[in-house]
Amino acid sequence: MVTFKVNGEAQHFSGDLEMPLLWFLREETGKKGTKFGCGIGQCGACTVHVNGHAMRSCSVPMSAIDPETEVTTIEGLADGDKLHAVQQAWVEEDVPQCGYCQAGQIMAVVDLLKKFPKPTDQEIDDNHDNLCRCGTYFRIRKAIHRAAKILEEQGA
Amino acid sequence: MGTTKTRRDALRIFGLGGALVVAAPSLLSGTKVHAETAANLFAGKLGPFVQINPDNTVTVGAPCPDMGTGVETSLPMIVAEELDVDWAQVRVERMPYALRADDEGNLRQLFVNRGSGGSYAVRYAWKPLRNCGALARDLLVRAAAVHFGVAKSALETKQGFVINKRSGEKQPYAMFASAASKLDMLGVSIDLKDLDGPQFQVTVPAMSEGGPRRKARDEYTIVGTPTAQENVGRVVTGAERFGIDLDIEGQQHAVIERCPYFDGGVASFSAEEALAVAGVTAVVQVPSLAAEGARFKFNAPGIAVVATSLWAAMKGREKLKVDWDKGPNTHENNDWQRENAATAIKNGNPNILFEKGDVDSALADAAKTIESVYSNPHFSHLNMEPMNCAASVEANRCVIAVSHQNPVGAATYAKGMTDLPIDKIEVRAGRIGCGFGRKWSNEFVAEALFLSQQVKTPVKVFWSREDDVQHDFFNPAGYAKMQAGFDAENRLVAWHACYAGGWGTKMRVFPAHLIPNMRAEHVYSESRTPLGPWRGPGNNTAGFYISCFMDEVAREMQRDPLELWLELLGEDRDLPFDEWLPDPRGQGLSVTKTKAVLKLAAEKAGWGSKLPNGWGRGIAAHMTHGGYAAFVVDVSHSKQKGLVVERVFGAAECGMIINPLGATAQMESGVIDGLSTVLYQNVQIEGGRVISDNFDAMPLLRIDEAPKHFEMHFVDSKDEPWGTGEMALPAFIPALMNAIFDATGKRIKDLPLGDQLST
Repeated sequence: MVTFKVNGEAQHFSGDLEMPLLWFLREETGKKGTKFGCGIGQCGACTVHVNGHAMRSCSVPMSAIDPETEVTTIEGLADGDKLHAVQQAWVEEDVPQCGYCQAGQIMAVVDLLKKFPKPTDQEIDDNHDNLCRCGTYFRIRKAIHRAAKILEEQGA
Repeated sequence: MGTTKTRRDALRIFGLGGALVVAAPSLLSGTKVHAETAANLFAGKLGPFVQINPDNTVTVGAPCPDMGTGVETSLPMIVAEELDVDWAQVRVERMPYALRADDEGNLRQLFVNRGSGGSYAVRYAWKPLRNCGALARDLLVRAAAVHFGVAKSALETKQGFVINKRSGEKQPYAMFASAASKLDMLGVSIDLKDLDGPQFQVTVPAMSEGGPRRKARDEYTIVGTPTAQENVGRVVTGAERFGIDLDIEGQQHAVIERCPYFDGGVASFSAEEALAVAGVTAVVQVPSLAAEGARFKFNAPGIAVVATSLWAAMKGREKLKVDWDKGPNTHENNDWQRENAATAIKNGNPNILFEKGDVDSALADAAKTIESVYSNPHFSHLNMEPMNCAASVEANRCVIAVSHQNPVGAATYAKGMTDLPIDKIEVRAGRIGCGFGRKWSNEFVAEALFLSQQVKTPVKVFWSREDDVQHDFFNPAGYAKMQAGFDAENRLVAWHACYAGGWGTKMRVFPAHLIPNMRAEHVYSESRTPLGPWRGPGNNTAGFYISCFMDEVAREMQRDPLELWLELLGEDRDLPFDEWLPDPRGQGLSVTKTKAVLKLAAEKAGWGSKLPNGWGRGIAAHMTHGGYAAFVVDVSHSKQKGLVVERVFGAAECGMIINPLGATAQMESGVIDGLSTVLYQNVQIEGGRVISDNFDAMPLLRIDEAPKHFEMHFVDSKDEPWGTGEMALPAFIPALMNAIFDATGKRIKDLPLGDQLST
């Protein structure tokens, strides 16, 4: 059995080590905000943070999880009622349409902004590749720039 | 975003607590009910959609499912407008489906058409929602008039308050809600109306007959105001619940190995190893659940693995051994379908969609003719949320938990399958993670119902991405032969379009009526590849064939394509249109609107201005389900960067805009979908089965390929609102293809684009 943390809470797992983290999160912790989209790491709908890095949880087997692992899902991103800057930017730009891919988009962008605090359009193009079937890319781009600005103002 | 209103309020979902029907029992009696009080008719609500809460917040029902089209925001906005409240007071509630039996016992939709499809949710619901919002406001004012001891005319309302105009006293709606629900409804009734099929609507007397006051358009404070999606706060925190997130207590999980061959089946199978996987409880053969005589497969028969966990079911599936009966269609592949379509055009018996003059003689007598063949492969839906459904069938009760474009259809199907009365069938509706027409079908519901019946527990059926692609109902592959004839003065005198495909294309649009001799035809080309509605059905490829060929015609005539379109369209007028439209009364094919959108897009783009070297520009317009869209697209093409869509200028006439943010989002969505389709949609069929399976084989557009410059302009329309979800793509694709020709000199006639520009 492995004990590790999801959104700061201890979780225990003793099942099949081949099972992807995605299914542990959705089916065993009931955190449904992380979505299934393709199962092969192509679409990014299942993006979570593993030890602070954006990972596609459909492609992270439970065997990769050890007691030091800290997972953050979309449910754990906000600080209580205070939204993360990326979530706030997403609200202000009214990014979502159907909304299904957006948790993954947001988790990916939080990590992107750690690497590129003020990303250029080219850096966004080169480093953000989550799929959105509704085609919210125009607003995603605006929201990434807005989030960068909010983070700067917050002195992050 | 200063004017944008945002809220992050929790949405309560009717149905999750077991409350199924919003209507009072009297509404389900099957006889016409004349109004008594709101308390009797609407279970205490002020009409079907409005509930005033003690804290003066207002719960407004969202009657149609939202798959990203924004109708869980825009439809409540209409009610809130006439109710005269502040949008910040509004809590949106997803309403359960509702049916009522008519006098003959036929189940009819209640209050509005409860589906989402055909760009009609706003179009159909607009009037009933207005009426019901106004009715609720009127009841509150009448109750307030009793309270204040004044005439109704001495009162006014503002943002959820009733104000006594003389004394200035102001009281919240909540103070009058209870009294309002007990008032006589004064001529309100619930009647069967024929609106794309009969449905029950609340009849509210007109203002001229003493009915509730409806606002004039210049009084609107919510409708027409940019408003954020009501669920945005839930989406960004992961709290929104999609169909795939809904579980039924006590459920097992199932995955199904379906027969990949069109009209094939299971020859034999071995369940032994699958049953040995820990957690697997049953292996069940799923037969064809199709109705007799259905044209395409309903569900694909196969073998279901049922387990206590999803992972166990997936592991069990890997251990299944199945031999398929490949059925009679193993000859089908992409090349066969193409040849078959060409043969059908040559030898088939065409169905004439539109005819004017004598096109055969005109082409024979023409001084010059041109001919082109356009084609497209099948398009897949690729909804981000794959198909899925949970169902529980018990002796006296059925529950379906699903994201579905037409919950009424799912419930009706369940009624047929279980023999339960309709009021024992509950549909728990999740937000829809994209639909595009795919989630209108019921075969994925039927599978879950069937498995629950077999294993006697609730069952949730999960579809992998591969399942979702390989068992899609595709947009038809199409093949269109286009001919034009010119007279000795180089005038366009003949237009002949012949389309071969599995089902019709929308070829009755312009240039119908505009050319002296024209015929548009559809010839059926036999294929067993399952087909279904896909964004802008019939229009999505008709725009490509027609507006690209018109661009060829303009080049042949050495004319500017915009000038040629405007000249052909001529004087502002409406022309007859014999094709399905939502609520088509009095609507024809509008020259006025087509010209308006072409001119607006051209003006905003600066049509005729010089472009940088290596760039090209194209224009096109198309009418889809009553909405008119035009695009000017600028592209560049270079060896280093390949094709880049530099700028997109859109114009649309879709009547009054309910939510400008939502309408713009729909147009952006159509543009991205159109570009993604041109670049990537290419369903591969081999040996009578689909072999495309996931996003690595058939990508979707990513952000790096999305245009950086996009402008959307709406004609300031006096018309009532039309839908916006489908109208952009059919106009955008030809504008893009015409721009590619302008930049490269290559006329792309076969989709997808692939490497056609590099050869």
